[in-house]
Amino acid sequence: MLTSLLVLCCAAGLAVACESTDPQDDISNSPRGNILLTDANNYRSTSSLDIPKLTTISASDLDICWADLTDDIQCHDVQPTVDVDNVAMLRVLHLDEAEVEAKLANGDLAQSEIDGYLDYNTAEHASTCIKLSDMTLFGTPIDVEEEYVETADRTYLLLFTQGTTPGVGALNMMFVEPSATSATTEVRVGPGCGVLDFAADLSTLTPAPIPKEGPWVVDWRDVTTDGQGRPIDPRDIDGIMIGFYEGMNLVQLQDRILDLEEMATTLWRLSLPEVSSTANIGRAVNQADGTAFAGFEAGEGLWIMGLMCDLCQNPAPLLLTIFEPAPRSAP
Amino acid sequence: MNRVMLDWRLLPLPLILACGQPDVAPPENIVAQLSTDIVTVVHVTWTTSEPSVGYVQFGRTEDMDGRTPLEAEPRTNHSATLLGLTSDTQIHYRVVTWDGEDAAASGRGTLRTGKLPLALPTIVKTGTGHDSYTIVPLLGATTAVAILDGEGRYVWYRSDDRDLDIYRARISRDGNSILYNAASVSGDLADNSEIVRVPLDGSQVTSTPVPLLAHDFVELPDGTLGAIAVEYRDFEGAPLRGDKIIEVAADGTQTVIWTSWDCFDPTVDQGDDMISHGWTFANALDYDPQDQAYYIGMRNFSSIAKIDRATGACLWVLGSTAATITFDDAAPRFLHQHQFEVRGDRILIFDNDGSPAMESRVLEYSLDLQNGVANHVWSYLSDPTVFSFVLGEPTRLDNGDTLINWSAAGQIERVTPDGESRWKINTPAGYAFGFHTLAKTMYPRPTPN
Repeated sequence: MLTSLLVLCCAAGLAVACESTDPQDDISNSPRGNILLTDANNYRSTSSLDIPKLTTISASDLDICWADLTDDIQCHDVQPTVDVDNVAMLRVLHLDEAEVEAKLANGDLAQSEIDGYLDYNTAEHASTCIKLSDMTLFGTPIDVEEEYVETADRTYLLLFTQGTTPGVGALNMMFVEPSATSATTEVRVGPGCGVLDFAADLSTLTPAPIPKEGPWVVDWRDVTTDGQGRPIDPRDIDGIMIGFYEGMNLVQLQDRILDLEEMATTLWRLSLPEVSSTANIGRAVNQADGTAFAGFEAGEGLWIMGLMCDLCQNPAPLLLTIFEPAPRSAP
Repeated sequence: MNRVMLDWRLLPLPLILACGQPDVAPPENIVAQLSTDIVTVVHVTWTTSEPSVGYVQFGRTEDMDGRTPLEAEPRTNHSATLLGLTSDTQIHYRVVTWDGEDAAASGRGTLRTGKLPLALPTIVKTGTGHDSYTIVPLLGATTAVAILDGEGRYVWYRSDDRDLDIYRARISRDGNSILYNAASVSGDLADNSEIVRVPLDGSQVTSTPVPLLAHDFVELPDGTLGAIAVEYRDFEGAPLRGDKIIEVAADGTQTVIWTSWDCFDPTVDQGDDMISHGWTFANALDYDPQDQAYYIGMRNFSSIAKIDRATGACLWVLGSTAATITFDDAAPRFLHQHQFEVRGDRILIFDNDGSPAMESRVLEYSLDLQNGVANHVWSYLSDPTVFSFVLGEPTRLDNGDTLINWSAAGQIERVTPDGESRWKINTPAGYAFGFHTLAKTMYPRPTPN
């Protein structure tokens, strides 16, 4: 879970006071599933960011280094020489650092709020440092003296990612602020643990009853808000995660909510290639051995299902619920 | 594939649409099915016992307010393509045959369009009052061509997985296809660039290779394609990146109409960014069929030239380099502009970099060609301001409004002459728009009333 919190430059539902187009109103007419989810089944979550900031020299080149990036924003270990595949700089328009943090945490940063994107692919992993001037605008070199300057209404954000899809797979972030009074030319990003504060509450949701026998067609058209209480857009849902956690309880899950994938006794996933409001979780695939989901026959423990948005700016599950399988029949 | 075969024998007799008894062969064997390539496109086929012409009436409601064009020639095996539909939507349709006086129609059928792929970004719309279709490439995390309706909904799309960008898309003049350029202008240029033709039903995609294609192309009234491509020539012992306009005839023949060297001299007309971006760096192209002239925009010159198609001569140049037209004293100047629109004696220009602040804007000038003066008459900044470091295009609409595509900012906006923003669509972070074209209807040929 949360393998790419803060996916910049990728699809996201915008929770702003606008009308989102193509509301898929006709989805409500498609066949219903047999496991009907509502808002009552959904978890509650909060997320916020506290991104470190460094004031640097203005209109001049920088050395940007990540040798100290030894864990990511989810507190998972990072090998700086291996895991950092891309370094990017976003220049954000009309938003200060706090507003950028809030927009990223809410997943509603619009393209019109970004007026510059530079990146450098570190695929060769030859070094843990680059120059700012090494970054390009999709291959076009930039003039640092013109593009990295002290300004009142722009915010510069460095983004260190695993993978090379722009913005996806954030390991850590850092604001840099060009200032005419600074002589700092070296930017050293540190560990990411602590940048993200993500909390989940699974205790107040209503578990969803699950029939003993399949098919298990989950239907989420009546879910109107995501875990953070924002309007949910079915176009954001690109996958389903099902996890079984043997011998675990809610408190243990909540305490390690960023480790849902790592903690699962068994984990299944189902990708959704198109906009949907239902999915047959019998087609989910065991992430360990590639076998299909066989049903809710396991030992004592918790069953969790998530509606995922891997490419959202904040890919926390849009929905996270607990499945309550019907009791097994006596032999 | 979603395929519906109606058993019309079970339906009421064909409706009589005109006065008197129908003397028209009713439609039979009606089959409606989704395009296998584009799930918002529906094919309808039917037969008639006698040659006739017909069309399909369709829509989201039983009123069926859409029409396909009336078939041009009488026939017994018929087909029509339903366009302008949104995804995952139930549609109603019926087939109408017509002989000029009497008509007969089938019963009403229904079909559900397919679901969009998740790779398409969510478009957010604010405001109202824009009812045209917008044909526009999507750039960034997804490379695709999309047609959006006035609500910002996808009614057509095609993803393009090749490792190239798409900068311009337009409906072909015959109304049957989408044309777009697959090219690369950032970083390394593409030898494998081409102009792609996709039938509106998504089938049988064809393409014409044109190496080193740049940002823009046009389709002339006779179907000839005019495109910007890069040309290199030696300059002081090194290759210099200039531009050319190349025409591609229907038979594929390619003819160079103009090059940068026809009008300009690199020792005299240097513009800026010559080292990092090349010399002229043409990035926008229009065609005036009445004057048989091209208009070409050149980023590094911050200039726009009118070029005689027959001779390649520059008829005038407006801008900062090699200009033959001067600005009035108070006129703001444009810098590194992209698309523009010449309409009568006015020119609208998307000014990427000319504003003193780091914000893009649209400028409009009145051209006094007799005296060689451009007078500033209108300008627009979005609120809040946006910056589109590349691309961008303004279009003046018939009612005086202006549609402004703030491409790299992922925003298209319609504004009134008074500068009131009345309609806007935005992409999420990571998606930009290429140049746009507009269409009032998905059917260039007339449809029945």
